[in-house]
Amino acid sequence: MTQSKLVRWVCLGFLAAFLALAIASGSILTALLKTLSVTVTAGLATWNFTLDLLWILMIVLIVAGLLIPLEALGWWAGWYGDGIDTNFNPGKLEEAVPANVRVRKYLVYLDGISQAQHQYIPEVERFLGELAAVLSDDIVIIRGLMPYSVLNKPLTEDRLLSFFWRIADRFQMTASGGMIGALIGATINIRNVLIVSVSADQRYGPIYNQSTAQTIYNSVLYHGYRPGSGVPITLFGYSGGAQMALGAAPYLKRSLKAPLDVISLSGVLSGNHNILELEHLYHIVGDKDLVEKEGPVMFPRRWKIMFLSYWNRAKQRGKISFISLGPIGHNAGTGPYSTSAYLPDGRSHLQHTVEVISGIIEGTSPLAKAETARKLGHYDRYREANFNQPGHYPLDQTVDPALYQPVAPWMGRLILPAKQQRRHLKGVLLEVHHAPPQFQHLVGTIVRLCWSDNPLAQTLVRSVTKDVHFSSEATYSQRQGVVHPDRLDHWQQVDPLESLAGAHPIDDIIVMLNGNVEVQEAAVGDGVSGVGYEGSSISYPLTLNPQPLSPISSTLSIDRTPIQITGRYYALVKVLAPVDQETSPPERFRVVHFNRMSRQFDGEEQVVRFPQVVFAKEYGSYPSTTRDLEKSLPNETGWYIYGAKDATGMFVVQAIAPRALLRLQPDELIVGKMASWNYLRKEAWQVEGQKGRTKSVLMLPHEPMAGWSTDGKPVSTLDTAIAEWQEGDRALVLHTYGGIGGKNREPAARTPVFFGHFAYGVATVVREPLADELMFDITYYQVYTHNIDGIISGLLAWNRFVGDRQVGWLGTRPVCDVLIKLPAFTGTFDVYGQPYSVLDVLLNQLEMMTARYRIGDGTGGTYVGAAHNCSQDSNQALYAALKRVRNAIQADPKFVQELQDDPGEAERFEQLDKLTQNIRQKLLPLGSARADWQSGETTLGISPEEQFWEGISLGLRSWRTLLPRVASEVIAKQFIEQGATLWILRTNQVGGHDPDIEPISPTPFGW
Amino acid sequence: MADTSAISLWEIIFGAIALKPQAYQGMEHLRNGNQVAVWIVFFAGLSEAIAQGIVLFINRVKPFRFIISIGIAAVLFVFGFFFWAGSTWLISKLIVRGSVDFVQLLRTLALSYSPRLFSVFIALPYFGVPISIVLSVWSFLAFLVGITATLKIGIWQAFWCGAIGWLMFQILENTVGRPVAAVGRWLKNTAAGVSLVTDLKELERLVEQGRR
Repeated sequence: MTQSKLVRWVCLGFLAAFLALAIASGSILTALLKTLSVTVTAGLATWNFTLDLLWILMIVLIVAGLLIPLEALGWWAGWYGDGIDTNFNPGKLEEAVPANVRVRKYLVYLDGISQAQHQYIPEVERFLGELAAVLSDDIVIIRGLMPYSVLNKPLTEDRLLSFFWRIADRFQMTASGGMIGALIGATINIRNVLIVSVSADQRYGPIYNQSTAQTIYNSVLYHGYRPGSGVPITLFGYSGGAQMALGAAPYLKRSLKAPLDVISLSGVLSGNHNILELEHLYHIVGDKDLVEKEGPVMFPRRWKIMFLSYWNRAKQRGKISFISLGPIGHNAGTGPYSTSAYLPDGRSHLQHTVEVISGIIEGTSPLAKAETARKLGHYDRYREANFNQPGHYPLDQTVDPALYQPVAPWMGRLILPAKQQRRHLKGVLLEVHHAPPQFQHLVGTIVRLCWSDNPLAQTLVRSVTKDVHFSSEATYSQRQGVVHPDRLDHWQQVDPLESLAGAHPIDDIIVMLNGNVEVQEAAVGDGVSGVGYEGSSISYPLTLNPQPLSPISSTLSIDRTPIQITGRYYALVKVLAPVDQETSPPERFRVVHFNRMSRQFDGEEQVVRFPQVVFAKEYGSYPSTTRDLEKSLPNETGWYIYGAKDATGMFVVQAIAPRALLRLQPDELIVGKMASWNYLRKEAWQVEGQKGRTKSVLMLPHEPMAGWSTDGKPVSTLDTAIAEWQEGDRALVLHTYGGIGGKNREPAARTPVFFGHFAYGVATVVREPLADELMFDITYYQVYTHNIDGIISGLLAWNRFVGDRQVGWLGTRPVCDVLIKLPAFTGTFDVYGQPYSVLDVLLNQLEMMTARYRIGDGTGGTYVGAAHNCSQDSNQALYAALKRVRNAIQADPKFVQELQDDPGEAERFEQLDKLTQNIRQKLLPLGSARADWQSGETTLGISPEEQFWEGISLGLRSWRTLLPRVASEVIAKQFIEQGATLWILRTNQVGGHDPDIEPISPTPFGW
Repeated sequence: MADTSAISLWEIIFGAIALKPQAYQGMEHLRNGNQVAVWIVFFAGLSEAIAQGIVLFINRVKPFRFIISIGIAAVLFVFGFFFWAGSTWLISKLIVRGSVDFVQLLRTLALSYSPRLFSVFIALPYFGVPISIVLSVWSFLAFLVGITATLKIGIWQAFWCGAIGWLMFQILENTVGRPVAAVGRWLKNTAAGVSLVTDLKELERLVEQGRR
């Protein structure tokens, strides 16, 4: 009987395959084997009879397997008609939400494969009850959904076989049915396992999972969720429910646009769903859980060899946390919901599981971090020097306002709250260093700093807030001395303020507040409940140390990202001579202040300290020096010195800026578009013989009219040109820096090609009170990858990014800032009575991009590659800004009219239209945008090695913005063509003299 | 069909599935052999069409049309088989360098389709995809066994027969066979009542768009 043997083998093959899957249902296999062995050993049946039984069982299973996808397919094809009530059973809340409570998070529970109806088995009911009891009131638990039915229909109702499922469910709930009862009960598990296999199937899965997503979607909406509100959703699945949750999650995320993570408790996961789209997957497994261990074996996508599978890529990027539940099994008496089994410390399994799960949901669970030895980066070395520590400068200092001015009205040190405080605080803390006169009493205190309800601010917060879980690359990079936001690792929903405050390992980020600042002061003792401040790692030499556990009583609300700065006060001085010779190079200098009346440096003389900066080992040079500072060329016109007084009352200079550079007084005037372009292309980056010098060049499209002043005196062409820059005017800044060459050449400059760096920024013309003259106040929007210097992506003042003597580039790198003024772009249009500026749209996008960079879209790291780098992503922001403007124009015909209805606006609008078209053409050399630019996908933090070819191909699609200098020139040219006025500010290793370094310009590339 | 031949027919089919060369010799002597060959191919086609039914579901074909479409797909499968057999016949003539009986080859090729009778199992969730791979390899092995046994050629010659025959079938399908394929497509679309999307990428896109 060869044929029947063959058929038998084939069938046994199928049976074996099925049993492998059935293992996932835990008790089925054991029950089955036990029954068979009992029947055989008891002589109740022969082997042949047993085999026949198996035969029948297998045929039933195959038929069931073939029929099981039909429900989902029929649903998809609309065979059940369109009249199905998709709101059928939207689930119940485990506990009602108290009135006046704003829901912080939605938790949707999906049960394991034993589920037959909306009511769960008793142990699950108990677990959910206890979980709800420990979770805070503002977390909603939705329960009772039926993920094993495409229509969210229980097995026990309204089905052909519902009578059978009711019996099976009854047997499952109680042990009274004996072995046969258990077997009947197990049919529910078998049926649901088949459904899990449909969800895991690459053909049926996308259809089935959409139905589950639809069920969850309907449910959360029914329970008050507002799509787009940004309220996080957690799908919590147990065993097979975890697979169902993971399958539905990407679809749900797309439709709700919500931060979405998945908790898998003992989940049997196939690994073929796009986990990369989720915030995070927490995979919690007991050490004795043999069922979960089948997953990595049974599902090929989880094999290590399939390194490109979603599962393995997500693992690589730190998207999955593997959490051990301790010595706990998969289900029943030894499972995570068991109340009869105990851990060695005396807690029941259930208690332990509730603690672990609630910790994750509340975001307070301290997930284990790999503690490994790390190399010291520049940042670690720099902060060893006392003058680089905030604690070096007492908080209660006063300065002579005639000689020193505060850098900004609101300044302070950002403090990251403890993880447990976050829920109550909803913001960060700020140690106030300076405040406007009416809030002087806040100086030296700790206040709460949070985002205002302004829609613009909320859009920023919503679009960049992400869970942070370090990828393996970020962890590796951190070990190499690169500064990553280590304190934020495993934090949920990190907003742009937290990512700034937590960017360094300690709270040492000094900022000025930007935009509107609203102050709310509560009565004494009426602080934010549950929030105290225990003092930070900084200790101050004088009084005004923050009081231990002082309640936070005041709140500052802001609508823009704070700007990182250096120094608290600044002065305008000329360096006269070193006063001490014991240090080389000298530290203390005699300086003379600028006298506003005489407009000369004949004011008060003082001694200030320029502390010796820490050597930058990886670049092979000191970031700045004071050698021959008094003899340097810019000293003639004076320096702005930024810093604060130390404990002895001596002013410590932390940053400097040459006045000649920033004041509105060009060294050269160039007239004509062609001449401007030629200068920019050929002369601007001239570095030879320029070391130690600054250069300020004003470039006009047309010859200005020389005229007469009000008192009848002739005004020169130059003065007329300068007069076009009025106080309050803004300019777009294209920033580029070059390399460090010479004897102590930096490693990156050892090849003939030097790429450099690119950033956008904004320059505002302000009246500087000490000199009583106009100067440029420059803020960079630095899209900056994580680095050894501890420079943080974000908004940085000139005095921080360039002028800082320790981390700035003034002393070592040549810098070129092209300031562009084109009223169509940098000015404002009157739209519906409100000012509308394309520059603002760009700055907004840049603010988002820099915030995304700080946390690498949740991976904790960003890296320089062809697809993503400072230049590519700054220009991605430009592309996004232009797209926004275009969308606004296309969506609202009246908007276009509004842009053109005032005098002069039509002409400017035409100019803007041409400019944006030309820029788009240049940004998109192949005619269409890179897919990631178009979709605005959050794909930062993928190391260039991981996506080597893809990265290069993406990078080449936007090749003009691949290289910093090319990008800067391409963009500047488009503005020149539209008649913009440009002001070029160049520095070449300015400050003291270091004979061992030379400036290197970024390599010019033809385009 | 008489009972005796029925028994031997099953023996032949299971023999082919078990990759036994004797089965092909049995097929040569089978009464109604040609008819049997066509039925094997038809049922293999039907089995495969049911397994591929998901394509019809994705295209939202209505139940009655679904059944008609499955039947038409099975019939078209038989037509496709004839074209493939033709191209293999031409190639085998070149390889064998002698006369090859077309009808004999047709019977052999049809019998080598026997493993595909199990194609319906491709529809099983999760295990379907590996099953489809196994069945493809299996039916190719059956083809090799059949060809070597019938044409009395070596295994490599049989391999090239199959490989080049398949290549030629592809070329024909995309050149002179286009009008025929177009007719087939028209038939399928008419039966389904919609313009069927069959391209894998397009199908994925359709599913990703979501249910309307």
